[in-house]
Amino acid sequence: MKKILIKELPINYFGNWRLKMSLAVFLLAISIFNLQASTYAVNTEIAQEKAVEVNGTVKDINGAPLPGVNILIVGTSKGTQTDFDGNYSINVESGGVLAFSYVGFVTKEITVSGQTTIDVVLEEDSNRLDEVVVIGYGSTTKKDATGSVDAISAKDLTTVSAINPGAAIRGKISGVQVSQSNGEPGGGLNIRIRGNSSVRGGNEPLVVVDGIPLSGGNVSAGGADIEGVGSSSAKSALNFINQEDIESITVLKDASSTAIYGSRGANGVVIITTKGGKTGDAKFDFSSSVGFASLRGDVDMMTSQQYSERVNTLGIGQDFGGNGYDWKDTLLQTGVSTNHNLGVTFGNENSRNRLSIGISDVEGIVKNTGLQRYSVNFDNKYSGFDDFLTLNTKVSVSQIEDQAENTTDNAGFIGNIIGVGLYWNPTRELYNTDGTVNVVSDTYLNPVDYLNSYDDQTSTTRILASIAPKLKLTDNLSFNMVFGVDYSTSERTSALLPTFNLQGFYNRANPNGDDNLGGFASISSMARFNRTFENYFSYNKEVSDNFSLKALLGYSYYDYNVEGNFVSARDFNPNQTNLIDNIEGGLSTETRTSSFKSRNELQSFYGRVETVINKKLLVNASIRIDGSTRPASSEKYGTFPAIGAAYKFIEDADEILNNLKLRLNFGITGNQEFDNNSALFVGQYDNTLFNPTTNVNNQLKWETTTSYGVGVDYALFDSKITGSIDYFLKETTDLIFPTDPAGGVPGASIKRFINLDGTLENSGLEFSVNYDAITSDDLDFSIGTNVSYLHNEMKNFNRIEFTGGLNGQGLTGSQVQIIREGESLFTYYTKEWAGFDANGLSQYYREDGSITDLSDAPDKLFSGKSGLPDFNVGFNTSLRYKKFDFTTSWYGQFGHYIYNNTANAYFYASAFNGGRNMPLSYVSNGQSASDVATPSTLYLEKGDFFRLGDLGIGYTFDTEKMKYINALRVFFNGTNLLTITDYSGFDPDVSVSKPNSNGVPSAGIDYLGYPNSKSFTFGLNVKF
Amino acid sequence: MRITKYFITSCFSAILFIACTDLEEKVYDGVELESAASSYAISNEDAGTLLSSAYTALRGPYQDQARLMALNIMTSDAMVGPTRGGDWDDAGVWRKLHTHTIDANHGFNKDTYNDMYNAINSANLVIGSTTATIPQIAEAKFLRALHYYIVIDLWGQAAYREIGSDTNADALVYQRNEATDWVISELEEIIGDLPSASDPTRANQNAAHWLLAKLYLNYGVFAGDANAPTFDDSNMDKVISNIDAISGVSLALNYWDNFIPLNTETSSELIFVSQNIGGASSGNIRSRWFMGQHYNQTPSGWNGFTTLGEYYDKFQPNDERINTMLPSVTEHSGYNVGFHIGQQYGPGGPGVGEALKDRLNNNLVFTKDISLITGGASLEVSGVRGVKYVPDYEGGDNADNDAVIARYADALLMKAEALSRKGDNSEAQALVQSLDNESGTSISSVDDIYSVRGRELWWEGYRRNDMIRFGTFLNARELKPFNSSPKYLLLPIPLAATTNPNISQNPGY
Repeated sequence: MKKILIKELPINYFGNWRLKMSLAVFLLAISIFNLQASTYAVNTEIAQEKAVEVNGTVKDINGAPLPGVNILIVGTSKGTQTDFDGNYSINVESGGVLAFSYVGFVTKEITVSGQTTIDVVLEEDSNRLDEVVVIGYGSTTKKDATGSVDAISAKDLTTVSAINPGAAIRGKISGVQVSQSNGEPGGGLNIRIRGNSSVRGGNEPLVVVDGIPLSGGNVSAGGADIEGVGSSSAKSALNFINQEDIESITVLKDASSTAIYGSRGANGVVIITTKGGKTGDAKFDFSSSVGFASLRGDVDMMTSQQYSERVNTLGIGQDFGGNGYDWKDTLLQTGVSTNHNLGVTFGNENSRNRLSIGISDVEGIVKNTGLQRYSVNFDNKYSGFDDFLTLNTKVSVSQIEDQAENTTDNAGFIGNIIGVGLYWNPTRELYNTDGTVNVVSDTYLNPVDYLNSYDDQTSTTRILASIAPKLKLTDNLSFNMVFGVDYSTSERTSALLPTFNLQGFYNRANPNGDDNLGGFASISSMARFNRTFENYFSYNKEVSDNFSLKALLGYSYYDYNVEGNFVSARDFNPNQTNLIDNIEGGLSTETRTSSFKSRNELQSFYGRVETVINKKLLVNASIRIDGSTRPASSEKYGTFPAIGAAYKFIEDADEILNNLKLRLNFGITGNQEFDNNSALFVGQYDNTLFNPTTNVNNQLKWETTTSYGVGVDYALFDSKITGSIDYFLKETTDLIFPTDPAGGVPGASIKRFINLDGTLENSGLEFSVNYDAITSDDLDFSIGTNVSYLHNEMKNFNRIEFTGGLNGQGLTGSQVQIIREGESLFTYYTKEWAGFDANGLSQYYREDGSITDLSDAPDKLFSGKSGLPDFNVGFNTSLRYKKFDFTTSWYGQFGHYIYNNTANAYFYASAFNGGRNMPLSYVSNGQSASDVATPSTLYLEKGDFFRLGDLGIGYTFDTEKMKYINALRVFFNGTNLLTITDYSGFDPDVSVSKPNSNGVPSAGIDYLGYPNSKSFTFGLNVKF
Repeated sequence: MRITKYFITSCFSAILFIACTDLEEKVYDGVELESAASSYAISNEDAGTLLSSAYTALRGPYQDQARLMALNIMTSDAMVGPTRGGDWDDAGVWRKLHTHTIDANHGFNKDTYNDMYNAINSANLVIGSTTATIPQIAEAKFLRALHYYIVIDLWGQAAYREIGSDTNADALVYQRNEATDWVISELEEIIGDLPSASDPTRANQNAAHWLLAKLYLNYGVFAGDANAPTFDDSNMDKVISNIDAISGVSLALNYWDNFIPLNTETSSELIFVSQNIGGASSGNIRSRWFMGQHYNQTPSGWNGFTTLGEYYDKFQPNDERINTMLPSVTEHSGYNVGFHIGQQYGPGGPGVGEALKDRLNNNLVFTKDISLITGGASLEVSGVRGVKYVPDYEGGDNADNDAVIARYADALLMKAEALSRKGDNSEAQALVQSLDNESGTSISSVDDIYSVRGRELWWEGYRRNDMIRFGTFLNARELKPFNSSPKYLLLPIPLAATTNPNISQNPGY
């Protein structure tokens, strides 16, 4: 026999193990089936012998029929659903018990003893603890959850009008911070669940749509970087989901809930479930709305009159005599948006369907910007073979067309379109007397010229399709599968006309002798193809009255492929206008092409046991072993266990305290958000060259977050007051970190991923309460509030990392934040400003507190102020009076500081002296035109704000007497209507996290991107 | 029914087989370098391609305005990057260079450090390549020696990796004197394997002699006390013998031939350059004319760096090295090459082009008065600007001018300096007077050579090194009105590099 060398073991081991695992699961599946199939057939026959058909209607207390009510024969898995008119029909043996359950209503059980018609009235459940929440690979109720999970349902979404479904959870859930970085239609949202647990990027939660974990990363292609004016970022990857198709959004916050997603659960999980079909004849649901968006927030830029006055009084700047320029008139518009959705459900007992189509057309508030989305969604749920097989098929197709202007957040010294519009001297005319645009210089751009000369279009198609068969092997055991594909392709084209006088892009050398070439064009495309294979057994048994058991065992495989290419050309003939469609018009020597492709595969083995002991103690333990292609060969697998327990001290008691549940949880989750191929030594061909493209780390491994949590759920006063209090502590170690190449010299000048020594600690307290103040026939009123406190600190960290890069003229390479031992992430570290001296020159503090001027000022002082908020607050009210409903949703962030990069780059006296406009409030602040706008705390402001994020008013018509129409509601929604803040910039909600060159993000910096908007939307919703 | 269910179960279970993977990572848009995870021993790449990459790696550090140019020239008395209102503050990075207040967090210091070691790494890949020939290895070793010379000059200690060592491990470090001896011995070892032909775009024997002369000339600084260097006759003899060994190059017919777009093709003087291919692929050599030109000049510039009045006054105003009319430059840009002072004109120059104004509508009159922070009416105009490389109007973003790293005038002046340091001022004077614009210069002490170097080699990147060797670097001067601490004779090791426990921060930082 041949000896096997120890060194060879890992490969053989995994090879055999993989095969064995597959075989075992396969054989297990077959044997269980064989055991069950024979008895199953007999049972059905017996059951059917005694069965009688029972019909009926299910309504609410107001007499409105309830469609989609689940009807289950207790003790079996047989059941049905009511159709759209609340009717149902089911075969049940005499003596059987029917359970009628419906989300938001109290479940009712009725024993069948000879009746053939059973009409049921369900009462609304004021107890929010009974709400069903979707969790990983299953569902539970808030009441039975051992972890910290929160959900919002479709009805909470009706008051939000947004392209990005992430906006719907803003302010609604404690511990969740949703930041809208800009007002661009479909612009990015940042979602942070329980803080930033990673130093690097990868702080976004995992998003799972109908069981398909999305890959993260951009779906739409990024734009080209144009020197001096910057590049444009990609749009949000969640835009493809039409809000009208969402049934519920669940947020899993603690490790005992998220660890079942293993390596990708460290930042929390957002589970989006889309609407399903219903039985019965075709029922339609139509909604239509029109909205109007305008600028939210402003800065007091000088009018031409104010400007010329200041030129006279201050003796700097220049008055050209023009009149009437207003940057808002020049660049902005009222963004009109329309939104139409039609959904239809139809089906029979075996097959339920929903098909929907949505068309949205959203104009941005910046001229020439907008987004059109066309989405089609199909859902079929089939059950057959005596319910042995249920099959859920979902197909979602969306097409998004984006039009952008240059509103980049990394504008260079010339500025993006907004910056150019702001600094244009309002006494200059935009047009010459002959009607041509007034061109000042190739670094001082005319905003109209800029607007008309730049074109940026993105077209993105995304298909998310899945088929999820479920085999009911026994009454207690089923085998579930999800096979999904997520395919997207995106093409972005941007062009700058050759007639536009921009430095480096105008009047350039032409080989035929004239120096008349110019312009720039790029086409970038990106395709993603991701596959999901989930396979799991689920077992569910009430062993005795005092012990029930749910178990899960599964295997999953995912792969994520991304590829794309990029073409750019410049130096076009000045007469050419169709640069994109005739890109070969550019000089061939200036044409650049590139392409990329990478792939990440993950495979996982997971299991979970949930038990209920004595109906009081809930214990939930899970483990997931994740393997990924990304880590070093010896570190491929990570093990992520978790345990959660809850004890119901009080349940449904008729005391002041109705419910009291204590929850404890512990778990380990992971993160593998480093670039593909980081553990390998890779080189690339580049023209005739070959260069290394990675700085290999052959020991790279998973980042792990260990979490501890304790929480209490409570209900008081007939469950009118419900809520939770949670404390958590998360410790992230082996922090994945892109180190500067300087740490590994001699080596390629490329970041190197390492696992840092150090611990990033996040701890927090979350508090939520909901009060159903009034519940009556005519009037309902409830308020809810949630507050989360978050503390973030780097520990045992022996490095210093600079981040918080600034952009704009004179700010190249400037960084104002630091990551270091003992401090919160993104703590400001810059010059400490001490006021202007008598000559209007900035003074700065020294370490000892004394004051000096710029020449002698210490480079940077540690401020102790962070860009991360200490408190995130949400506040919601809901009022119904008869047929009117009125809701408000507020959110706020407190305790953080915002660095006003916009002011630093544009608003200072020497800019005025140099011919730029600036806000009136800055003109007379005492600054000398000789003062240097060096980064300092002068530009640091408190970022506290509280905002009316969403407001909704609706009226539901009485449709009893209307023919065909089953429901009709008209509504008005408002977004960002009111903001309370002392922040002087455009908008305080700036928590974007633009990474530095190594990918380390920042927070709380106000880059002058696309301005935020407020909007009014009017619409109607009709069911027929 | 039973059969159906059996069939359904089997179908779905079969998927399990398709899905399983061994998680071996693949590289799609590049090549995984075989067995190279722990060494430089690359076997699956053609060494010639790697060598081309090693040459291209010169472009970043030797051409960009924010790399060696910033560290070597802006720290000297020859150039300053003034802050102009909101322009060119960049959190003080430029000012800190000139006023010797640089610290370990300085961005360009780190970027240059990284670029130098990236270039060293590129050379190492050739040297470690299993397919490299002896001449290819010699070329790569020359490049590596050149980069290490820069590293020794700027930061002192030198991090290195042995070929075949684990690239995941912390690099080892030579102290400044050890590194100097090592680089000298490497060069002397490979010099015979280098091509003798004088193609200045490739490593060659002339370039190796030039570099050896540099190392021996600075030996007292590198291996001795940098603040009070001594110059042994034996080292000076090595300087002289190495310069004497240079053959096949001669002083250019015209000083500006060294800096025109076709400089390598035209000038007889160039020993080693970082090559650019016009209109196709280049480093950032164009920054050499963009950086100082005003926004309203043609081509439009960045209105940045200037020389200082004290430095400008070292020249006669009509010295052709700072004031030469080239017809195509006058036609396109309206100025002479060299330093720019006074009223500036549009294309065509005085009498043809318009008299230019700045963006504040003041006349665009460049003045000698310069401060670290400019303001008021002189915001945009203060400071004498310079165009050292002749603008390439045809290359677009890819200018054709090769960046000069070594030229014969420098070699001759090194020899003259060595002679003078040995006391032979007359032979030194003869050499100096062979330069076109120094025919009347007399050499009575080595300090006269310093003055000549300041004029002949302005803005070519030698100034910091020269000032340290001549003991003037720390002195108070126009915009640094104080003597700086001797710690500034070395630049700080970038903070991020000190995570390698073998690297220690330079004293005082």
